[in-house]
Amino acid sequence: MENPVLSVKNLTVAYDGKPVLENITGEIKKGSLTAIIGPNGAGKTTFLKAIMGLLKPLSGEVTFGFEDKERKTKIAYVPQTGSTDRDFPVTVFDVALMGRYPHLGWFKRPKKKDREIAFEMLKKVGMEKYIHRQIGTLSGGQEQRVFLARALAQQAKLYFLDEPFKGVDAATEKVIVEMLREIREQGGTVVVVHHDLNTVKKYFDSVIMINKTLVCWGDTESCFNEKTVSRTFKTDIFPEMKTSYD
Amino acid sequence: MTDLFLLFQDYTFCVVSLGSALLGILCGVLGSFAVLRKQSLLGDGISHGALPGICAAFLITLCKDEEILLLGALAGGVISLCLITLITRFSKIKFDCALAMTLSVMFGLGLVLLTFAQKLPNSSQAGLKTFIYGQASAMTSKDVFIILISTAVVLVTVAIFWKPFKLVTFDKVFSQVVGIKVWMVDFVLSFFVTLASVVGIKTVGVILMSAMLVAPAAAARQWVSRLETMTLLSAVIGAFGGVLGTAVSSSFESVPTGPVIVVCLGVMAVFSILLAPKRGVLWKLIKRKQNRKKLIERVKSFESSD
Amino acid sequence: MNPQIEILLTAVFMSAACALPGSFLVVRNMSMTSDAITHTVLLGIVLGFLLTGDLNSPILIIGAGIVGVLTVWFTETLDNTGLVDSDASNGLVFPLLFSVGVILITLCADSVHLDTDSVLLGELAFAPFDRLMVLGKDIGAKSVYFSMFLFALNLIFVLVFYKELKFASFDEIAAKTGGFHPEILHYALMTCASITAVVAFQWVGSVLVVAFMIAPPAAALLLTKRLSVVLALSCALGGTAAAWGYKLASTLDVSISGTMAVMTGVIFIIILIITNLKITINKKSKSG
Repeated sequence: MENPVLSVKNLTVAYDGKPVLENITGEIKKGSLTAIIGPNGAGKTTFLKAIMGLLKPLSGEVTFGFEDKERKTKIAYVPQTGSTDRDFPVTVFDVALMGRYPHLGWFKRPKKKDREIAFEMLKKVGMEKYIHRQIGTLSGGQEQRVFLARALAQQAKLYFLDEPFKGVDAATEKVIVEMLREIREQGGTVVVVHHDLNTVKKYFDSVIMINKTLVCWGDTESCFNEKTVSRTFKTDIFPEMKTSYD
Repeated sequence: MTDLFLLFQDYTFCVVSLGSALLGILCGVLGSFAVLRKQSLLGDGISHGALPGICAAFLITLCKDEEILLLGALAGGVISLCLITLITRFSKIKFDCALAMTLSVMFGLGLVLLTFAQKLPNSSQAGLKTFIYGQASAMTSKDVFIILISTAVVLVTVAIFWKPFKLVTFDKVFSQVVGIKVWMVDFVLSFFVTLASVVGIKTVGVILMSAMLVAPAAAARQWVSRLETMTLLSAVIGAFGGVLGTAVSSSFESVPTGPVIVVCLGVMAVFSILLAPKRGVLWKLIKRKQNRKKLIERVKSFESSD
Repeated sequence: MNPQIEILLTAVFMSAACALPGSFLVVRNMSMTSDAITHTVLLGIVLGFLLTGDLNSPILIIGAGIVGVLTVWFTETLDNTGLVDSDASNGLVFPLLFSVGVILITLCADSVHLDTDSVLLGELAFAPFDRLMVLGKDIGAKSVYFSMFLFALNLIFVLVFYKELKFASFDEIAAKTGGFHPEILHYALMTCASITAVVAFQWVGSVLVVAFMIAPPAAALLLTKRLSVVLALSCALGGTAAAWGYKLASTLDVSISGTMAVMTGVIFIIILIITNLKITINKKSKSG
């Protein structure tokens, strides 16, 4: 069997000594589309940040199917809409071009090839007409597409998306899904923080269901069912945690 | 102890410390709202605008009556407030940027007008230094009276309109839904900050006004978590800081009162942030250590059970 | 060179130098940090003076730079405790450090000519008195060379790290995963702003440095959607404000630095009105 592109072992993340995520273990297969599912405050974004190396976990390991020094080019990230300043003076094209920055490293300027790649990706997500627009003049869905184009321009192996379908129009949702499938066809792997339970089966082949701790991690078919969903979205899974960690 | 006793028999000291205490109460109460409304730096922005106001009042009337200069300062403050509001309303420029711009440009305008004023025959150096750092020792009973009136007006208004003020501070959208005129509350609270900044100039000066507003409220917030108690405690801290600062600065010659009051209040705020029970930094560190220890044991048990 | 031209050159280079770190402060929504830094450098200068006993020592500038960066660090640490909001942390930290500076001056340095007024107000008119001598020959006012050097330094910093600064300012998380170090860039920028504040305040005073750092970039932001253009335009607008301000101040015989600061504001307001009129006209022509 092929090596997993990402494996997580006994991951525990704490904030102020209080556990936010406890003892998460699992693997993400190469070429999979994985959804991270859980209620608000379940630690979905924390989980994403921990595996991207933005948060230092209390214990546990995160290992990738590639070398650590390749991480900066092989991991692409699409932020939640609204997490960046919409008034920032950058154009749509500038944002897409940022996807090339990790390849360039420090000091090097983007070349013609980089520009071509950025433009091509904007075309793929249907935003080529807007390249000179300032990012804040776009709708939420359009903004999401531009950030997706940035991630695509990075030509990474592993893509992380934080709630990409939140508040976007139907057309954008379709474009995003198409792109994610295209990434998979080209051997890339996608991990998405997802909130719409109705589309889980349609869009994703694997799920990670968490609520502070892992409920189920595996194929959508075997993992995602009524029982696990109700367990994931039940609030007090660990009533004892509340009392002992005030 | 006898020194302190003597200090309180001194008339000037009593006037000055009464003024500082009242100012502390005024700023403490308004600061609670300003800090919770994330407008901590508004006082800083507005108080700088008082300089062109004072100079313009002098240039227009050619008289140096305190009331007229104060009215000028108030007008300057209100103009700054309007500028900040207009800039954020009519462009994508953010509040903090509009604030920084307004405060420095208005101060520049003040310097220009000041050079005009200094050329007039009857001007005897209006005292820029006093304006910038404050000079509480020069406070007269008239100044104290002005602070007293302002404080009374503000306290009475806050008491009468407590509910809408509180609601707007916590939830603007909800307030709008239940029919409170949010813009009016916004304006009144901002106007009060302007008023406090202007009457406080003589005591602490323009630059340090922001600390007068922020420090007592930030300190109070650490000990209590209801707006009622926070406002009350903030006023007490403000008053205490004012008197303490005045007492300390009057025992050293030539040390301006404003900075000393600010250091007193600042130290109280830092002390509160470090030591407040259940919330302070120290408490959190200890708690975190304990929690971590427990958690690590738990984590180990997970790993061994695999 | 005649003194008028020297003052003009100093003013133009200084305001262009301020606009560069200022642009980044504005787009990072840290405008009030400039207010904090420009005030607390006073403490650095006092501490440097107490250490060396010499008002012309370069240690003073280094000390001021360090305190400027420390101000940002203190404010952020306080903010990160989650006990006070970021604007309240700012409003708490900088007045405190500034007060300590003022108290130290009055207690220890009263005998020498270290005047709080000169820190807060500065004096551009005196700049030509300080000459730069090379091999016994007068080659012009020090201030001209200093401001030119400062501008060059900031320009090099911004040009070399343009891509990195832009990325980290716009999307910190992506910059971090992309292998750039946003926190290092952040403090490099704060160092740049602090050094600029220290050098500039001797001519225009600390309060007005804020105007030169913030108003031209804010005006430029109204006109363009590109960061590179914001940088260039804010230098140009700052330089223009300084030149006009100086001319107006000499005609009216009033405070030079004050008039220059007012001009930065006037330029901003003019651009604000024009852009708003344009929007209204566009809307009307569309609807009508």
